[in-house]
Amino acid sequence: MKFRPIALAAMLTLGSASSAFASPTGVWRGPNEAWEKVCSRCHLSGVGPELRGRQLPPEYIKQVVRHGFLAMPAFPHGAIDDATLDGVALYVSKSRLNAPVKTAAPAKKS
Amino acid sequence: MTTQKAVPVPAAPTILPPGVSASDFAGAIREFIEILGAENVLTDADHLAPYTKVMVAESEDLHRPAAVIMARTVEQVQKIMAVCNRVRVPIWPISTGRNFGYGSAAPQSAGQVILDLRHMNRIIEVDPVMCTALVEPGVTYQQLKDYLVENNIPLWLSCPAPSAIAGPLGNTVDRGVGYTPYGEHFMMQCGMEVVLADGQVLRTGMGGVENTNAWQVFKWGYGPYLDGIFTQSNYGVVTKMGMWLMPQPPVYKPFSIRYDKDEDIHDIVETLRPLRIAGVIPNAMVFANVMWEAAAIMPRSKYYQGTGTTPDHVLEEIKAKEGIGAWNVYAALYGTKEQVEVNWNIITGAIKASGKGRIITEEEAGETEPFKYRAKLMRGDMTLQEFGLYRWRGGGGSMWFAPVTVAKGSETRDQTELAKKILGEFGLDYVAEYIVGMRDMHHIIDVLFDRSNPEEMERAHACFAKLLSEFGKRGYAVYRVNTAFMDQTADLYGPVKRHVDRALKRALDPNGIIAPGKSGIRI
Repeated sequence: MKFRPIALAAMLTLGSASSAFASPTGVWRGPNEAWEKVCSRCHLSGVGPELRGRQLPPEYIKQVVRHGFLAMPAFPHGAIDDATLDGVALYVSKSRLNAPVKTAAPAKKS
Repeated sequence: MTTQKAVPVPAAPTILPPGVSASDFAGAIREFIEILGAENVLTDADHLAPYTKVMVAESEDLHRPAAVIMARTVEQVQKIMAVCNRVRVPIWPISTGRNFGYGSAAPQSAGQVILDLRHMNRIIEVDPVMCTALVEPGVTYQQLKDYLVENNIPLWLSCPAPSAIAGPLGNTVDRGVGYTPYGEHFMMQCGMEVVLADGQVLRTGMGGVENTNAWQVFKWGYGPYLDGIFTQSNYGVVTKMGMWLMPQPPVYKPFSIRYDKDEDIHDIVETLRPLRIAGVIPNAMVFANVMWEAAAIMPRSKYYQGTGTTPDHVLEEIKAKEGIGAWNVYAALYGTKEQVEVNWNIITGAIKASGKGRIITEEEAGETEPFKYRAKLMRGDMTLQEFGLYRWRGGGGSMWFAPVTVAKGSETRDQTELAKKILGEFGLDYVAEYIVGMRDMHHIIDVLFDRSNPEEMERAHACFAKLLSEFGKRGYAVYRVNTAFMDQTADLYGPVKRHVDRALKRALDPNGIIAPGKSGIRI
């Protein structure tokens, strides 16, 4: 299993332009989209705790995402599917504190 | 494609809907599975856990769902209604389930089945000419924003503070507000599709007219205007909603005005109300107090390690060291360069004439918070910065106490004093902002508490009840409330209102299957 960095801008062009646009619910274009558009808004802004570089176990991260923890909201499967969450948890677990997050987050498992 | 793991049919759900036998409920679950597929009928603890995370000051056991079912089509919702009517299973519809501080995703009472519409997330239409959209319940603001950006449609959204994960339909039907000129969201809503308890599908406004193309442009239709009865109510399941979007202006000029003293709230209102009513300031501006501002950027432990109400001398220290006002106004101008210039001169003139308040422009604020996230909210952009409120005291407890205020200086002073006094009695903080509507203001107070501390949770509960009753004695009532206080709030609006609410409920949902207890309404 390895991670391939993909620039977010490239992924943003994948959307359908049809008039009945729907993204598959909770199925993100990759873990880094979920990280960028949800997790990082709190965890890179100081609102939530810094998670990078702490080698948090992926299982623990997933547990907190599903159940919430104090001020951290819970995220049901309809908000983030298991596969995406697996990717986010692995990314956070293996991250380094000074990693350039915006381009280094994984796109998908391969 | 689905990524849900198949869920086995439960042998014995831990919680049953009130008055429904285990075998009847098992039968209902089997029917839900036939309609929706097993992966969309959730009964195991692991899948239900996210739906039980609440921030209100009472046990989650009082709000624990019996199951969660997820529909993808209107036809499925209709079939679910038939089962629920037959077996008398109550359902609690949610859109994105992000009603933080108002009950989150959890039902008003235990044993209801959550109908999660997150998978109904089609953006059915965006009309760039008429500046309208038609969306399903599961569409998030982020999804709609991405769609507009990807398709180069120069329209802006209006979102509540947790914009990145909430959605327009749920927010609007709970009559939430945002911060742009379109900030009164229900006013900007146009046309609904509603599945009624008997399975009929109602289209409101122009929507019932065959071949109409005016569903999203004319709100009222013909005869009684019905959209309002499907907001903050339990008379139907809203499956589509039309809304108006704001054309992106050529010039956007957000600004802040800082005031030093608590009592300045009086003059702030008197100075700015005329500008709001006249449309010089077009958006739902806010007046945020020192703790709201501070909470957006830091935990209070940075300045205060004690428990209980944050002392005034600590707040003075925060104001001095962090450069935060006692009250902080956020407003914006939108339009052509010339329009903005004219209005800017009117505003700066009014502030100067009032003799107080220091204007801070976007250029002066630079990249600093909280200005940056406020500027995002006033143009309908995505942010979660205001979740910082939950870090102020920590512990994950939050209930919005949000009385309606007449936009008069004397009334804001009275409400602020009363709220501070009551919160202080219970060792809690006055973390507040006023959001300025067309004539009213929403006085939004985040009653924050440590939900992991049972004693503090009990105190917060008592405090909220007292806030409601003491404000009520003075003729003040909240515009919206969490699931723990819906009945007490309904009482404030009087027995005749409750009677009519119930008469409508009995007429439209005689078995009381949709969201019993919402806004205190039951059969």
